[in-house]
Amino acid sequence: MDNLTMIAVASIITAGVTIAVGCIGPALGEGRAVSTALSSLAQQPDAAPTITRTLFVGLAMIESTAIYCFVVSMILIFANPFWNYIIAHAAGK
Amino acid sequence: MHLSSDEVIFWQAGFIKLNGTIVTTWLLMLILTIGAKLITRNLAQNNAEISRWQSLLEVIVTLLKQQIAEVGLKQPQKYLGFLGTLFLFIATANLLTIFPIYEPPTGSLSTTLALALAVFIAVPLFGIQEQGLTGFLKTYLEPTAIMLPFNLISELSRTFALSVRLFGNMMSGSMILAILLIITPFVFPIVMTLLGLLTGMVQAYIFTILATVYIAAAAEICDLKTDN
Amino acid sequence: MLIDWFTVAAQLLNFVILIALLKRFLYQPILQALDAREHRISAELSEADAKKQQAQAEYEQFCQKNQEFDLQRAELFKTASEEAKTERQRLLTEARIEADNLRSQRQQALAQEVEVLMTSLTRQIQTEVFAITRQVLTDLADVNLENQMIAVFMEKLRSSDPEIVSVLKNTATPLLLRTAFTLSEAQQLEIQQTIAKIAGSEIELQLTTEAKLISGIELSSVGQKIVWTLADYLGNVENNLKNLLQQHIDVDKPEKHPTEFSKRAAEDVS
Repeated sequence: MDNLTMIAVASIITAGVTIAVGCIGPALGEGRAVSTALSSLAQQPDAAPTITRTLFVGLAMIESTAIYCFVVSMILIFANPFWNYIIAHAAGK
Repeated sequence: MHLSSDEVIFWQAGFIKLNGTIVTTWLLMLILTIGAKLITRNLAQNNAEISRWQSLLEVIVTLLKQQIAEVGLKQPQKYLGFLGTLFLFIATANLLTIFPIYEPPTGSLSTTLALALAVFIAVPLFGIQEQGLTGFLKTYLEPTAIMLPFNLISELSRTFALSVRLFGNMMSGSMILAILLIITPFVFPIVMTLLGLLTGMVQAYIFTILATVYIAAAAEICDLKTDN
Repeated sequence: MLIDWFTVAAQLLNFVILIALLKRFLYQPILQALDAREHRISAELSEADAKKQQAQAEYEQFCQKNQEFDLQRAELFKTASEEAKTERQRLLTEARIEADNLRSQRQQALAQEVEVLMTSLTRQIQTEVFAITRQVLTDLADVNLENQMIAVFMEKLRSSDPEIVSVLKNTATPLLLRTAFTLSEAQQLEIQQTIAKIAGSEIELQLTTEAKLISGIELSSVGQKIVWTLADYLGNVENNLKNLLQQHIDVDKPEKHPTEFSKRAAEDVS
């Protein structure tokens, strides 16, 4: 198992772990937010437009964290800087 | 199998290239413009003569205006051009995924980044237009001067999040569809397409609402000041 | 690499172009149409409001007029009914008065008729009774009655009534003695003696018979006479009877108050 293969394995495993762990927090947060929003909607149906809009904005904010994880995993797979570095190094050799 | 339509290149001359994303976007622009042109060519004035297409457009425009106004912007007509186009473009691009060969331009990070950059540019422009250059710049020092770097970082990161959110959703949607077509070619892709349609509409709404909120946040300080 | 910077630039440009196109072809016409319609609707609404107000004003005017008309009508009706009432009263009064007049006239006429009838009947009865009486007396008169009459006459003479005495004394001419029957010699003598005794001197007697006197005797001088006849007697009775009848008719006349009827009529009206 040379360096290239090790980097590939590490990158792929890390990407998977990143997206898996990074989704847990936002998922919990979004679940809480949605449940609270639903009970608020049940209590005040008149305020439905405001609650819905605020919920979406809030969900988008929470989701940003998951998106960062997603971006990191994407970078690890498709644009891994070490991968490029090792390739360039190996070519230089 | 490719990740986005950027990789489908029809014609290239050095730096300039004509890929699938740009072509699809042109197609979308054509559809939107010609549709609008055809419907608004002869608008009826009398209530009884309004066609269903005209009422559809009126409902869309009125709804957009109403949503913009509800977020807190005083003159919805002024922002309708930018925010409305944002919504219509993303929604159309996402809804057309029901056609088999079609690949949404919003599934390409280049397009979503372009849209997020448009928002990133539009927010200061509208802010300056509303409350002047100094007034707008003061909003970066809002709670205290120490918050200036954080405000700037938030400005950049939210633009980035905006683009990646839309890209991730649309890309994952088409990706799941492609994988499902290989594994289970019947029934399940349709369900996922339906889910993709819902996600696409929700994402269009979220993108527009977030842009509206950002613009409102940039333009709202003036109102607070005058109120005080 | 996920981001192709040329595509980003191209998409940005595309987006700006799309904004311009949609502004030109979608938002402007639609918003203008909406505004125009809104204006038209608001204009129509205001027009409708104006019309409504006008209609309201007209309705109020109409109501007022109607009320006035009702009032006028009620007033007119009241006046008319009052007039009719007074007219009715007047007519009733007139009719009553007329009826009263008519009745009194009729009563008068009736009374007159009754009187006339009564009078004529009385007269007739009188006449008939007396005629019968006369007839009967004439038929029944006989010497005895004559005698009796003469006796009574003589008695009367003898009673020495100062009037009779003065008449007999002052008479110069012969006395005329009329009787219904021919007096007998004795009777003539007796009368002559009695007269003479009263007058204190012999007085000549002229004797005549007249059936009209009905068993009576009449002694007449110039302008003066002493009579004792049934005819005279009957004449007296007849006169008395006439007077009595006249009184009776006068009393029998019905006397009703003419005001009684009008009073009752007034109660009916009220």
